[in-house]
Amino acid sequence: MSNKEELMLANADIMTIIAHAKRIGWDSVSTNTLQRVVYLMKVLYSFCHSDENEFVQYHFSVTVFGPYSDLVYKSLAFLLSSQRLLGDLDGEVRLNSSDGIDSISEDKKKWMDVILLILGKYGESKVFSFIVNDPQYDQAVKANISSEINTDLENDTLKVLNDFKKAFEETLTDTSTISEEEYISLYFDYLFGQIIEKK
Amino acid sequence: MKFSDNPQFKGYLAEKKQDIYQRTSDGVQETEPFQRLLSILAECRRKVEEQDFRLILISKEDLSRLCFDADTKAMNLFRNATFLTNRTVLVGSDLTIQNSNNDPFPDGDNDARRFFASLATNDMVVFHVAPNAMVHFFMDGNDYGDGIFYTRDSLTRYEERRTIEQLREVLDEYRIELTRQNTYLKFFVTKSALRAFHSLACPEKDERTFLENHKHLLNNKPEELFREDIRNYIKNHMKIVVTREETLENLDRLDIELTDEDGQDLYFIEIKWVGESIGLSGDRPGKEFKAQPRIKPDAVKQVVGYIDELLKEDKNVKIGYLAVFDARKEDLEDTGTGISESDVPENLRKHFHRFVKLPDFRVKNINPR
Repeated sequence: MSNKEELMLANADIMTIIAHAKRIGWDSVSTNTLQRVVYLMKVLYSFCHSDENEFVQYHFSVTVFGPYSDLVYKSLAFLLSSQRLLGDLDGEVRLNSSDGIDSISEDKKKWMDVILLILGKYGESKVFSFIVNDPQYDQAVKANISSEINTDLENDTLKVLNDFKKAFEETLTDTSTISEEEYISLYFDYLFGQIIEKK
Repeated sequence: MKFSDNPQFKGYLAEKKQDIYQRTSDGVQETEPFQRLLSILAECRRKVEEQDFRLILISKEDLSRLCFDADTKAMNLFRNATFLTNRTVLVGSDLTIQNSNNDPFPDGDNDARRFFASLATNDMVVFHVAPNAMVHFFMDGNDYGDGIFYTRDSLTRYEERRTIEQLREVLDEYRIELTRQNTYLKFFVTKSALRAFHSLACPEKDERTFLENHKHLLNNKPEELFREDIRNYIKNHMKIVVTREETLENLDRLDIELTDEDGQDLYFIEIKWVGESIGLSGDRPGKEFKAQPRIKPDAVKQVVGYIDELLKEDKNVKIGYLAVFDARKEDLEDTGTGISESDVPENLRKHFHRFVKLPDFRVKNINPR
């Protein structure tokens, strides 16, 4: 895929995420939050899907303020300069056009909603705390690596989530009503408990 | 692994079995409209602040048909005069008010919760919106104030914690904490260790005088004790993210790195101490640090140097604090007295306004044990 094609796809993703975030009451979204949200969408993707990761083109590295993808940054810069978004690259952005919104696969849209709805329960201000407590991100920070964060099937976040699910399966008599998305939601509930108790 | 091999975690799951089943299969909580409305109500409360608690009732059927533009409709609701003058409103799927009343809520947490739960019958879902944007719900006569893994009370306590702007207030309280015996004792050599030190070093001298003259001796490597103590205090009293030591590219380490809850701005605290510590073997004094040059100018140069480095690395550092634990034998003036721009090299002076020397953290072994 050429750089231009990647950017076009990223533009559609970013516009859709911002539009769907508005539906949960986030009228504007900080550019840092967007980086973090796309990161979570990528790193958690394979827990619920067996197909190729739909966010494969995003490559994240560690920064003090969370994961950073150059593609997300470039897309935001493009969308701001073309006035499809209003705001600034270091602050909040909001929609100024409907171009590109929902011009992605149904599955991808659904997945974006899954993550946004989970995060929406706690509010935008808590997203950073979730990132800091993400096992894969934490591992990358500990190793002090400046290269790309591993988001493949062997990533630590998926290992922890699978173990979380296993504990439910081994404890409750019937887990058939708990979907994979629910496990992620319950896992965030658990993380949130850890954050507010400062464990 | 952390969960499947953890009997305590599994025991907790077994206890919460019923709540987990309800959450994942009661036909409401796991649905998109419910989750969307929960998020929207909290966001609206953040945007339209007020001091009153609100009760919003909606039938399960209307909730399942929640309008597409509920975010806009909810903002209209929160600004609606009927909403503002009535504690309780019943809304439809488009979030317009169908009924309202201004009856007071029962006094006392438990009575109020019972009352809200009593309204949540006959397929009605009740959302309770607090001024701090916490939203709880009641359904099928049940109170869903708690998450599966956290309680309403711990969330309330967390939301009441101080923000990064209030760091200095928190540190002022920490200074008071340092005057408590249970807090300061951990920094100093114990009485029994001092006695051993006396019998090894100078048994011919009067023991009582020796103990009095050496009660200010700090444990070996006190910097780690100070750093952990202040770090834990900040973590437990503030709504911020305290991350591990940040390694700068030149491999120096920041002692404590703080970011606001949003993760937008970076602050750090460099920890130093002045006074005297015991040697590793415990039979002789170890290091003694004085205010000069330890603090002025060395630590000042170090902190401003870190600020420079962080800014060069494009890290949005706001302020670099210098915190000095003062365990000197005598009561002396603050170690920051006389610190000025001239203490740092000329090329770093442009960052001096981002440097803050906090008033000393005095630690005194008033009643040794």
